[in-house]
Amino acid sequence: MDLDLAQFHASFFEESFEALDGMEAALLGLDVGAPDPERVNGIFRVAHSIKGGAGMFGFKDVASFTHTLETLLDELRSGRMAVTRDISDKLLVSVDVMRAMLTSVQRKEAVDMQKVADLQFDLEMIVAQGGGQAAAAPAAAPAAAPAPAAASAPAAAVPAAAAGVGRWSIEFRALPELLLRGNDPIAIFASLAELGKLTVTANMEAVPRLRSIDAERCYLKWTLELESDCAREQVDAAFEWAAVDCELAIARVDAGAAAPTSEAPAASAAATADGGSPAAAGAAPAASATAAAATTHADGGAHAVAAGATAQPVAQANSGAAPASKPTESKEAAKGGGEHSSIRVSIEKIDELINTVGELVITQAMLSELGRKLDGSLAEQFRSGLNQLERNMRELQESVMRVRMLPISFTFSRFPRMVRDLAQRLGKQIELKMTGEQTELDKTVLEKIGDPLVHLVRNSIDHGIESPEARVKAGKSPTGIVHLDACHRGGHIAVEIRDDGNGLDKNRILDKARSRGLVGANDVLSDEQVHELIFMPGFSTAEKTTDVSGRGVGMDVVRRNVKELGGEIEIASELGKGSRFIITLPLTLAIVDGQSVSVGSETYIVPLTSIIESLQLQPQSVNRLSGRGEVFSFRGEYLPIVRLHELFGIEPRATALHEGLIVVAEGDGRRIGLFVDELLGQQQVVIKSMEANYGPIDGVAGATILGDGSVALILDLSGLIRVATRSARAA
Amino acid sequence: MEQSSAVVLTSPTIRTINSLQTELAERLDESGNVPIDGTAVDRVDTAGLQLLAAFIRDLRAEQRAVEWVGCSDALRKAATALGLEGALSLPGTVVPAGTPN
Repeated sequence: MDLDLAQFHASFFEESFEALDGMEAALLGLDVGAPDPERVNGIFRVAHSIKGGAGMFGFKDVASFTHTLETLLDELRSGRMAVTRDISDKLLVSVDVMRAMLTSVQRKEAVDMQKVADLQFDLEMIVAQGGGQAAAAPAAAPAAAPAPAAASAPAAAVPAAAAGVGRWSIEFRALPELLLRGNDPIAIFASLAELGKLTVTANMEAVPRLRSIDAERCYLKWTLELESDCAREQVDAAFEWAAVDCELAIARVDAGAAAPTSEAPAASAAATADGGSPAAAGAAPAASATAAAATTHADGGAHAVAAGATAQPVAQANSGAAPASKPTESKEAAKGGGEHSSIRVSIEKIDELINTVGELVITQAMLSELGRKLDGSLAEQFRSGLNQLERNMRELQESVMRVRMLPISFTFSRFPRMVRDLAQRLGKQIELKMTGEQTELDKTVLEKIGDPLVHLVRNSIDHGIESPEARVKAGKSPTGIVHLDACHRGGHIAVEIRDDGNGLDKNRILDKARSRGLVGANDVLSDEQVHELIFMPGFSTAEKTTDVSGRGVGMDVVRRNVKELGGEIEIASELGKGSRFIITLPLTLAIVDGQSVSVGSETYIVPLTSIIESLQLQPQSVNRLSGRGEVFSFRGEYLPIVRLHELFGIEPRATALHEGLIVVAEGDGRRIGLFVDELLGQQQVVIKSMEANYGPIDGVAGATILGDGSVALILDLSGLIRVATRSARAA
Repeated sequence: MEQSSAVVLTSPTIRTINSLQTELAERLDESGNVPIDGTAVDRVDTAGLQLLAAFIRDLRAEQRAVEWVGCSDALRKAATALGLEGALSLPGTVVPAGTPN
């Protein structure tokens, strides 16, 4: 009976896409001519792992293509071929092709085989023709021996440099799921064997009897000894794809007898973990059971890679040597699994957690409300407890929100490649600078901000940065600079795209706007107002439409996308000097800063970012226009009045406009006056999805539960304006 | 005792592991040594080798043994890579003293 591996496809795709991102970044940082061997090795490992997984899951096209790619990469890392600009370009295209193939396979769509076959042919040709082009500095090559295939004898490839220098002791216990997820220790050990001389001892103690074994699960445990002076990261890298499916303890053990190196000043057999924690000392007995003079280095010390690594005594396999000659494992429990300890959790689970915490916040608010109404001797104590609860709740909520936060580098990482490709295509010289990549923001915001940023960066490259000749003529360096920056700014994230190009040409924008009738012939506009024009739908001053930008679709969409995220976009530009686009975004979409307003017995939340101001209207300032209903003049503009009680069918306290208040709010670039009974207060509210709990309602972004337990709808101004316009027309 | 037919291995991997397990379990129920032909093995993984090693260990516990008819390079290399060559009693492997066979 064949095993259904489909259940593991999702994690294969997820890990492969992540690995391809890493491969692309590594390729972009590859120094043509003198590449860093470890970087090339890392790139090779990605291709190797994807090939293994694809083969395992029966994705033959992917496996075949990655096999060819792997062959080329093997030539490169062995130093038999040099990394040239052309090869580096082809490898980048290979990343694209692999991404496209995996996406097609994931979506069960047909793969564009012509493109794949063409590139595969090119790669094969490079390998076929490149045999003689040895790398300039073969001595720098990591290993002269041919790379072993997955099942080759691991001890076969021993770099000379590794002989008798450092020794790594590795305890590796596969968790049952390891094999099911497409990870095979054979491939892992083969990667390790490339680093030095590897001795593998298997332990079958936990393998059940044949009749009761679940054959798809792994019960084996291994003790590995690696003789190599490789870096700790190289050892870790061999296990990176299996990290969550194994228990792992890696310790560097000195091969020499009595001479501890300067890295391990404590000349004892105790494991000196770099954290120096008491728990690490618990590993000492295990370490001391090794050869008498064995010293665990302070730097490369004992790290437990996967959380929960065990430190039980190692029994020898039935094929093994005498137990006394083997180092036992040591671990650094206190470090909580070391720098690689992380787990993959589905976003649904996190959202569930956030939701529950949201409920708790509401319950806490209800208790606080109750606490305020209590009297008596215990009331003060109760309120003090509630204050403590509130503080804890806030911390809990912030911690949970942080789980959803990712560094903006996830989005920024696509730009080096994009800028490089575009600059090449447009014949421009462009340097991309990125700062603040570690600034974190909500995953959803992060995903949605990607496209607007791409558009702005493309614009900068295509329209902003001039050709090298034009730049030199203008007295600038031939290389233009596009700078991406992210930072926290008062509870928001500001992302800035800055270039030192030609800047916006105010006169050209105005001419274009006048010719299209957007601006009157005699209107005088401020710089800001001119810049605003480029956000008009279909507006483009590009003289020619390229496939990069200039089709006139764009800046309006960029602004709409940013607005949908509750953000803002601003422009600052100086002709001849460059432009700055600044996007301000909320940290999260799960909480909104809102203004509570009351209408009859109901409370509504208006997002603060939508509100321009609130005012009281006098009856004489209101006009009635056919097809537009009631309007009032606001800063030279007539705005429609939307009576919320009419829209939602509620009995209001005030029907005359001067008895209530008008909240001037904006959505989708249009403004309205919302007529409400009164303003209540401003507060942060946790957004509950209407779609998930009820169904979509036009004009409502979500709901929240107030401190008194009642439900308040959070208004979506863009939707509300659409609804109001429809109602006015119908009336 | 009549020599039973050999268990012919071709591709003992996780994809086909369950049928191999059934076949090996049947062989455990029989008596005598079990011949295994690994000449044609072109692809093998940890799941396959783990199962074979468990089978051979169970045989040994009954004072029986495996008789390898042949062993492909792929099989030997994978067994060496996993440190299981002794556990599998592959032909030409030196079994450490004290290991029951």
